[in-house]
Amino acid sequence: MLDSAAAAPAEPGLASPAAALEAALVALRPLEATDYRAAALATIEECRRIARLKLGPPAPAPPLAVVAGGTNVGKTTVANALSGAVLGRPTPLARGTKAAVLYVSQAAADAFRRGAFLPGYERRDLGEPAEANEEALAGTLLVLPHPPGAAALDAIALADSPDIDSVFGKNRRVAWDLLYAADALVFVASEEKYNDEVCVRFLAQAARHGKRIFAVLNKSAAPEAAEDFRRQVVPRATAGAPPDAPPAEVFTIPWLGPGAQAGAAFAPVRAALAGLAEDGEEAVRRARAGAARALEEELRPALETLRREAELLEHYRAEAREIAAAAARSYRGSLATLPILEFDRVLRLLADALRVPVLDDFYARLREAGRPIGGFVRRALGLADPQDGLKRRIAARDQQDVAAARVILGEALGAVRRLADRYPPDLANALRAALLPAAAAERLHDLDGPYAASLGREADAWTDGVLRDLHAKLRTHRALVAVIKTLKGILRAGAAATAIALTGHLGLEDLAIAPAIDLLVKTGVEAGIDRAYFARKRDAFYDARAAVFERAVLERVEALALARLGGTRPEAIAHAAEAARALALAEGRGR
Amino acid sequence: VSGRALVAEVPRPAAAAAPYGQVLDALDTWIGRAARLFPGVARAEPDLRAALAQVRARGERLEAPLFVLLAGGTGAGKSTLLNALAGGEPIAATSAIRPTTTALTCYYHLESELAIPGELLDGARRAPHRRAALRDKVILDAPDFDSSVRENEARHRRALAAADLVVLVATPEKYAGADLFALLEEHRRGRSFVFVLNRLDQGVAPEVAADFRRELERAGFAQPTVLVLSALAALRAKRGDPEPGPQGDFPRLEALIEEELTRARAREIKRLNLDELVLRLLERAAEHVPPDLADRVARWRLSAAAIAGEAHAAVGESLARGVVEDEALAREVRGRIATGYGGLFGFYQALHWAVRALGGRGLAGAAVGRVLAPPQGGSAAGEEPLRAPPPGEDPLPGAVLLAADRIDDIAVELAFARPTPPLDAASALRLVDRARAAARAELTAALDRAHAPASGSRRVESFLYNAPPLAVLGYALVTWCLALARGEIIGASWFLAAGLAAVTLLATAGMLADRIAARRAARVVDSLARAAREIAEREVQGPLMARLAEAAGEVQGAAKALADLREEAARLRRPGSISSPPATA
Repeated sequence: MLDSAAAAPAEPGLASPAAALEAALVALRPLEATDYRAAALATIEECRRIARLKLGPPAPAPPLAVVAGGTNVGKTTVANALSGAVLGRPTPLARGTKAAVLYVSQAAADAFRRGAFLPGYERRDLGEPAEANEEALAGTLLVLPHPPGAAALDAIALADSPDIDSVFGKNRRVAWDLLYAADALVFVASEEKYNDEVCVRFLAQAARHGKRIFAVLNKSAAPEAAEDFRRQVVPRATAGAPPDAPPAEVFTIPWLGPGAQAGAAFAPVRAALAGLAEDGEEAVRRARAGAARALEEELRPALETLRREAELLEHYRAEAREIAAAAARSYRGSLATLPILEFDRVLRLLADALRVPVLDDFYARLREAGRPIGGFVRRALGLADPQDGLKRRIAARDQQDVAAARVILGEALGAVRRLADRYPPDLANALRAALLPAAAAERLHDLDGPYAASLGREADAWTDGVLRDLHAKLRTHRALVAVIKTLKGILRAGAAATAIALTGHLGLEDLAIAPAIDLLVKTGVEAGIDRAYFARKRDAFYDARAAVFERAVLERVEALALARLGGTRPEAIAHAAEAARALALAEGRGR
Repeated sequence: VSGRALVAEVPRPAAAAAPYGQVLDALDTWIGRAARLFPGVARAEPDLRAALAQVRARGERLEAPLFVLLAGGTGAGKSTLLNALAGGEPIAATSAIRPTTTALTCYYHLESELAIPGELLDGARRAPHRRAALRDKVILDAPDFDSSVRENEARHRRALAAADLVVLVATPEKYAGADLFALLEEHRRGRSFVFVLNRLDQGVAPEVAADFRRELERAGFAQPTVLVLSALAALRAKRGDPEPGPQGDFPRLEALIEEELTRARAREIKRLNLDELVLRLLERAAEHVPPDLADRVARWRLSAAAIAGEAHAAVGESLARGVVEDEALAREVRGRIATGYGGLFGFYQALHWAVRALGGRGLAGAAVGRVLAPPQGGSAAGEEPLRAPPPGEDPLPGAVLLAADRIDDIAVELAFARPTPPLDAASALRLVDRARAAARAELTAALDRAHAPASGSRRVESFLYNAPPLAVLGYALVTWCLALARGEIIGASWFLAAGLAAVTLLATAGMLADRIAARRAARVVDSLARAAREIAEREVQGPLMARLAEAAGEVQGAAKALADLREEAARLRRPGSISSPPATA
C-alpha cells in the first residue's frame, strides 16, 4: 500500500538517508564538562531515535495510531473502546500500563513483529491483557493480532502507550518512542490534566512532527473545560503543525461515574480513525515528511552549539600551538650567545689537514713521546686533561642551556594552562577539565635525559656535517692546502735556517721556533675560517638545537592541553547538517 | 535525613528567639572567607547567601503564625479545599478551567496581617477573617506548578519556600507525577508535610492510597500520613448541602489545622523545620569543602616539596656551578692558601704568585663575587606572559616564579584556591638575590679563612718550608765568617752557589706547597658548593614552603571552622528530632 513512500527509495548501493544521518549523529560529541553538553546530547539522541524509529527504509504497513496521554487519564480504557478488544486492563493505579500494546490485523502483524518497527524493543504476542501492566515487561512491544474483518479498524494499527508523566521513567521513553513511530496520535486528556505542561508539550511535539491529531477529552463533566480544551489548549498546542496538515480533531467523552462506559461517545473517534485508514498513505507520507522536517529543526540549535564550540576549540588549539611556537622562537633568540664548543674538533681536523709531512711528523712523534711525561706532570700538579676539559665544558654548557630551556618551557606550559581563562565560562570549564591534572603534568616540565641526549645527537650531527663538508672542501681545494702547507714549511724551514745562521749551530731553542710558527699559522687560519666559513654554520647549529626544543615544547603542550580535548570536527557537524537536510528533502519530495 | 510527615509529638518548651543567630552570623562570615579559599564555595556563594537569608527569615518567624500552604498540581482541588477549610466561604475561585488559580490566596486572621512577609502578600488575593480557631495560622492557596502557564510554577515555588507546613493535595490522576516528586525532592527538607488524596467523591480505590504512600516512602518520607478525602463534599457540607457525599478524612484535616496545631505545637514544628533547614544549609556549605581536605593538603605539600626542591636545586646548582667552574676563583683560593705562610718561604710564595698574577694567571681579586652576581642584562621581572630571558639574562628568578606558579596550580586542582597574593616577579628576584648575597658572604668568609695562617699545622708547615733554605744560607754565612776569621776570603761564587741552592730548595718547597694548596683549595671549593646548595635550600625552598604552609593553614582553618559550626548547630538542635540521630557532641 505504501507505494508513494516507496517511490522515493535510497539509491541502490548507498545507505538510506536515515541510516546516513544516524551514522553522522554518532560522530557528534560535545565537550565534557560544558553546561550545554547534556542538553545537546539529549537532542542528538532524540534525533537519532526519530531517524531510527520513523525514517528508516519505508516498509509496507498500515498507518499507526498511538493512544497516549498523562498517567491515569484513561488511555487503556480509550484504546479498548476504540479497538473493541482488550488491549490492557485499566487500573485505578497510576502508571498502570508499562508495555506498548499493538492492535493490528493478522495480515499486517508481521510488518510490526519485525525489527524495522521500534528497533531495539523486545517483542512478543500479548497473552493475558494484564501483561501490559507488568513491570518486568516495561519497554516490551506486545502485539495483539486480530483476524481480518474482526475489527472495526482493519486498515490501521492501534497502539496503547504507557503514560508520559509519571515517576516510572521507563514509561516516558516508551511513550516518546511510540510517538516518534506513529502516524497519528490519539491524545487522551482528562479534565484535570488537559492543560498540564508535560501533556501539552507532548501534544505540541506530535503536531510539529506532522502526525494526525485526535484529541480526546476523557471523563469530561464541565462543558466550560471541554470548551477551553477545544478552543484554546488544542489549537495553541498544535499551532506548530506543518501547514498542509489537517487540523486537529477534538472529541469529548463524558464522565458517567466510576466504572461506567460511555461506549456511544467513542463512535465519532472511531469514525475519525476510519477516515485515517482511508487516507492512510497520505498520513504516513505526511508523518514521515513532518518527522524529517522536525528532526532537522530540532537538530539545528544543537549543531549551532557544536559549530560554535568547534570554532572556539580551533581557536584554542591554534593559540596553544602559537604559544609553543613563541616559546621556540624565544628559545632560539636566547641561543645567540651559546658558545659552540664543538668547533674545537673542527679546528683540530684543520690542523691535521695542514700538517707539513716530515717536519710536523717529527713534532708529533716528539709530543707522542712526551705524552706520558706530560700526563705525569699534569697529575702531579693536579691539572685537568684538556680533552676532559672540553667534554666537561660542553656538558656544563648543555646543562645551563637545559636550565634556561626549562624556564621557557615552564612559562609556555603555564600560559597554556591559563589560556582557558580567556574563553566563555562554560567552555573554559571544559578546557580546564581537558587539561592534564597539574600533578600529572609535573613530569612535562622535566627536560630529562632523553632531551639532553637529543641535544648531544644534534650537536654531533652538526659536527659530523661540518667535518664532512670541510673534508670535501679540503679535497676540492687541494691547491690551496698545498700552498698553505708549503708556506708553512718554508716559514718553518726558513726560520730554522735563519736561527742556525745567526747562532752558528742547531740548538734546542731552534726547535721551539717550529711550534711558534705553527701557532701563528693556526691562529691566522682559524680566524679566517671563523669569519668566512663558520659564521654560516653557526645558525645551522642553533637552528638544530631550537628544533629539538620546539619538538619538545609542542609535544608537551599537546600532552598538557590538547591530547585529552574532545570535541567534534567541523566536517562531522557539516556532514550531520547535510544528512538532516538530505533526509528532509528526500521525505518532502513525495509531496 | 529523611523528609518528615506530621505526626503527633509532645510539645516542648519554647527556646529563645532566633536560636541559631550566632551560628548563622558565623556562617555568613565563613562564606565570605571560604569563597576566597574554595572555588566551589565561590561559585555557590550567591545560592548559599540566598539560602542563608531564607533560613534567617524562618528563624525570626518562630513566634509568627504558622504558614500552612495548600500545594499541588492544577485541578487537584487546592482552592476547593481552602474554601472548605474556610467554612464554605468562597475565598478562592474554583472552576473546571485549567489552571484556575494564577495568584496566591492568603487566608489569615486580621490581627496577624502584619506578620505576613510583604513579598508573599504582594499581588496575592487577601482574605482576612476573625475565626479564633485559625488565630495563629495563615493558610495559603498556591497556584499550580505543572500547568502550561509556566509563571505559576515560580509562584508555587516562592510560596513553598515560605511554608512551615505543606498540605500537599494530590488526586488519583496526579499522585504519581514525575514533576510532583521532583518538586518534593527539592523542598522536602525544612518543611512538615501532610498528604491529601482528594476526589473521594469520584472514587479513590484503597490501593491508590497505598500506592501513593509507597511512592512517598520511596521519596524519603518516613511513615507519611495520607488523608483520603473529598474537598468538594466537605465544601458542600459546609454550605449546608443535605447530601454532600462522603467527606473522608476531611474532619481529621480540619481538626489538625484548627485544634491540634496549637501555638506551642506550631512553634515546635517551626523549630524542627528550622533545625533541619540550618542543618541542610550547613550541609550544602560543606559540600563545597573537599571531605578529604587533610589528604589533599598532604598531597599538595608533597608535590610542592618536590617542585620547590627542583627550584632550589636549580638555584643551588647555579650558585655551586658559579663556584666550581670559575677557574679564576679556584686559582684565587689556591693562591690564598699557597701564600698563607710566614718567613722567607712566605716571601718567596708571595713573590711567585705576584709574578703569576702579572701573567694573568694568578690572584684575580676582581673575579671573586663576579661569579655570584646575576648576569648583566636586566631583571627577570617582565610584564609579558611569555618571554624568554633575553640573552645573558638571569633565568633563576623565572625558575622560582615558575615553581610558585606550579605549586599554586596544584592547589587549584585539589579544589582549594591558590594562595593570595601570588608570588610576584620582584619577590622571586628578592629570593634569588638573598641567596646570592648569602653565598657571596660565605665565599668571602671562606677566602679569609684560607688566607689566615692561624692553625698549628700551618705553623709547622711554615717551619718545615723555611728551615732548609735558611739552613743553607746560615751554613754559607757561618762558613764565610769562619773563613774570614781564618783570614781567607771566599769569593762571591760561594754565595752565588748558596743562594742558588736556597732558591732551589724554596722552589721545590713551593711546588710541594702549591700542590697541597691545590688539594686544599679543591676541598674549600667543594665545601663552598655544598654551602651554596644549603643556602639555596634555605633561601628558596624555605620561603616557598612557608608560603604554602600559610595557605594550607588558612584552608584547613576554614574547614575546621565549618566543622565547628556544624557541631554547634547539632548541639543547638532540639533533641528528639526525627530526621537524624541526636547529636553526640
